[in-house]
Amino acid sequence: MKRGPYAKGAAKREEILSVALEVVAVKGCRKASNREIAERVGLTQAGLMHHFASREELYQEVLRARDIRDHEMFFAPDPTIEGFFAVIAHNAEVPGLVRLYVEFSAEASIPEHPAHAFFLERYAWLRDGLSGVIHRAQDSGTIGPAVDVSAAVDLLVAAADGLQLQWLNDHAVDMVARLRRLWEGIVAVSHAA
Amino acid sequence: MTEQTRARGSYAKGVLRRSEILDAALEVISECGGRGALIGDIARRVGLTQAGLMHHFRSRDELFCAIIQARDEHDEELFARAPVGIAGFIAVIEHNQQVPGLVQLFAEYSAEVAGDPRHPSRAFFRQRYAALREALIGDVRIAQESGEMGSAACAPDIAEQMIVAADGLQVQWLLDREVDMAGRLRQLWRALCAASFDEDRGANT
Repeated sequence: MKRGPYAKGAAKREEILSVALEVVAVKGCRKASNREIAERVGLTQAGLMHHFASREELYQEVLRARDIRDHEMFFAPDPTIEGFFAVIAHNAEVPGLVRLYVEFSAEASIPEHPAHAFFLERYAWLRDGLSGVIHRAQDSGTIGPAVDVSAAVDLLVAAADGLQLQWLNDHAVDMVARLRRLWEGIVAVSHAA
Repeated sequence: MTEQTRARGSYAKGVLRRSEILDAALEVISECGGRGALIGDIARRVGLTQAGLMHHFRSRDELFCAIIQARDEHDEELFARAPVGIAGFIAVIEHNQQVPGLVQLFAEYSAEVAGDPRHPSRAFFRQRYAALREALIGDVRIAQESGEMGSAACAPDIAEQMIVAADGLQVQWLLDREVDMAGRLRQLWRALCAASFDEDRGANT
């Protein structure tokens, strides 16, 4: 009995996030997006914000929901570098989410920002996942032993972030092709004596 | 004639005031940056009101672009005047660790501009990236001539790799000051050099 209202609130939150993912994917995080999200889940904008402490929390949770979905679609259970490329390729289909991610991650880089902890956690999670990718690639022999795993991971993350910015400026930028070149570079050093 | 002199005089004064403001802006921002509360801090430093400050710049966007440009000119004088190759670019990124606020402003503002197809500063960033790409292509050619990098490497590709890594590393570094931006860029450069020799060997066999 007691669990009822909590479960209902949690379900509504899930519904909001899945709608928000769709709306933001196309429109980004403008004021109009909040209105559309609220309408589609049958709430007022005030009602929508009743489920989230702030606008920042809503967008942070949208990005988290995106990560979980991407992870399930492309990465689980044994992530490979191809899975990472697939996530980036998919990003080109969801410009609004790329925009949200690029703007929000830059904004949240100051320690006072409410989403600062979220991004710190997210980078740690991403680094962890990519370290696993490189170790597995070493086990299977696609990459040599002489690789500085933490450097390779930092560079893959940096390139993916930097490429999203370039892609927003010019959709002709081929993010996946660029990342493949970087991966080839990492593979090349990994075989060096 | 007097009219002209007076006009030129006040124009020159305006230019002087503008560059004084930009100097102050660079100082204020290098300490604590970001877009918020920035204009007020700069105005206070040069003894103007916010309205007085904005008399010298048509808009917030013009002020931010002018600040980024002043920073670029300053960096170029310090690190890249001589054709030092990729080391000059990496030195600029290393220097960025001393000016977190400028890194913050650049990261936030470039993201804001990239996210809005109708942003008034899009042309500024397009030109800035094009100039940076050209400079880095020059650095790659220097490395190819000296034999540090293989001849088959595609210079514009390498330039792009360095740019996106530098942008991405700055965001990582803002979040976590332990990230060694310059060290990582040197590692990237070495990886790209190694890959270029693989390409050379591939082309020769």
